[in-house]
Amino acid sequence: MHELSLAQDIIAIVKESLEPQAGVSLKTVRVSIGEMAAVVPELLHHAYDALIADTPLQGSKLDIAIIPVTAICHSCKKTFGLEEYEFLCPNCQSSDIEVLTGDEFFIKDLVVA
Amino acid sequence: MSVITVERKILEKNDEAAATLRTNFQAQRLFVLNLLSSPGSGKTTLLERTLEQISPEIKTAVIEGDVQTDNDAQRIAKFKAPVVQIVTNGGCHLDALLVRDAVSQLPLDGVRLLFIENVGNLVCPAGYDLGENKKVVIVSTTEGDDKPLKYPHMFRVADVCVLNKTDLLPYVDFDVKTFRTNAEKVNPRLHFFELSAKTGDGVETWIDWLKKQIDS
Ligand SMILES: Nc1nc2c(ncn2[C@@H]2O[C@H](COP(=O)(O)OP(=O)(O)O)[C@@H](O)[C@H]2O)c(=O)[nH]1
Ligand SMILES: [Mg+2]
Ligand SMILES: [Zn+2]
Repeated sequence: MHELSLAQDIIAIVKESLEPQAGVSLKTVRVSIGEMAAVVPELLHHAYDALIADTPLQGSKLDIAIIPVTAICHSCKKTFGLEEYEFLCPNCQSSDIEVLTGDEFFIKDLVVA
Repeated sequence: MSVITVERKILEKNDEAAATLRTNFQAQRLFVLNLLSSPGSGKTTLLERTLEQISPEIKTAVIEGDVQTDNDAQRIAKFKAPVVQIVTNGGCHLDALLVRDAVSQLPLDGVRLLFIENVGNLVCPAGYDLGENKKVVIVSTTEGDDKPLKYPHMFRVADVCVLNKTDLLPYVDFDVKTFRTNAEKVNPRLHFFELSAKTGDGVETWIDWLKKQIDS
C-alpha cells in the first residue's frame, strides 16, 4: 500500500522531469533508497510496473540503489557503518552519534533514449 | 542514451506541506503531537483519558486517522473536543496533505493542543512528516518487549515513547527493562512514559509533561 503511493509520487516527478524533453523515450529511473527509509524495493518495483502498464512510460524500469547506514561519533570523531539498528559507537560505545546516510529516498536521474 | 539529472526527494510534496503546517502551527502557538502505534495499542483510549483531565483547562483538538470507520472520532466527540475524521480508504498512513485538509475543517480558535491519531501501523507512517512538534510511539505490554528491534525505523524517528497497558504486566510476558534497553539502543533520545490508559495509573506524569510543553 505504502509502496503504491510512493510509486505514484515517483511517476509524478518523472513526468514533470520529462515534460521539457519532447520525443525522448524513458528507459530507466534511477532511485536511491536508504536502508532505513522503510521502503521495500521489491514492492516498489511491482507497484511501478503495475502503474506504468499501458501508459507512455511502459517499458521503463526502476533501478534501485540501496544506501547503507553510516554514522559519525561525536565523542571519538570516528565514522562507521551500522549493521544492526544499534545506535552506539562501535569504537567508544558513546550514544552521541549522528546518522550521516541511510535515510535517503530520492530520484537521482533518468536514462532516456 | 542520455541522462537527465533529477535529484529530487520522492516525498518532497509531503515535506513541503509539512513545513507549511509547522510554520502555521507555530504562529498559532499550537502544540501538535503525532500518535503512532500498532492497531489496538491504546491511542484512542489515551486520548480519552487525556481529554478528561486536560480540557477544558487547555483547549484541545483531535484529528483521527482511520482506514475505514469514524468510530474513534465518535469516541472523542463525547468529550466536546473539536474533532475531524480522516478516512484513508485503505491507505496505510496519514500524509501532510490529508492533515492540511483536516486542519482547515477544525475550529482552532483558542486551541493550544492538537493530537493527530495516525493509522494503526508501525511501518509506513514513520516516513511522513505531518508538521508535528513531536512523534509519540505507543506500545502496549501485550505486544512483546522486542518491538523496538522489529520496527527500528519508527522508534528512531519518535521523540516520545509511551508504554501503555501497564495494568496487564502481571499477566503478560513483558519485561519493561528489556523493552527500554531495546528502545534506547535504537534511539537514545527517547523520552519514556509508563502508564495505563485504562486505570489512569501514570497518566498524571503524561499530563504534566503535556502542560509543560504548551507553556514553553
Ligand atoms: N487493559 C488495558 N486495556 C486497554 C488499555 N488501553 C486501552 N485498552 C484497550 O485496548 C483496546 C484498544 O484500544 P484503543 O484505544 O481503541 O486502541 P487504538 O487502536 O490504538 O486506538 C480497547 O479494548 C481498550 O479498552 C490499558 O491501559 N489497559
Ligand atoms: Mg484508535
Ligand atoms: Zn565513538
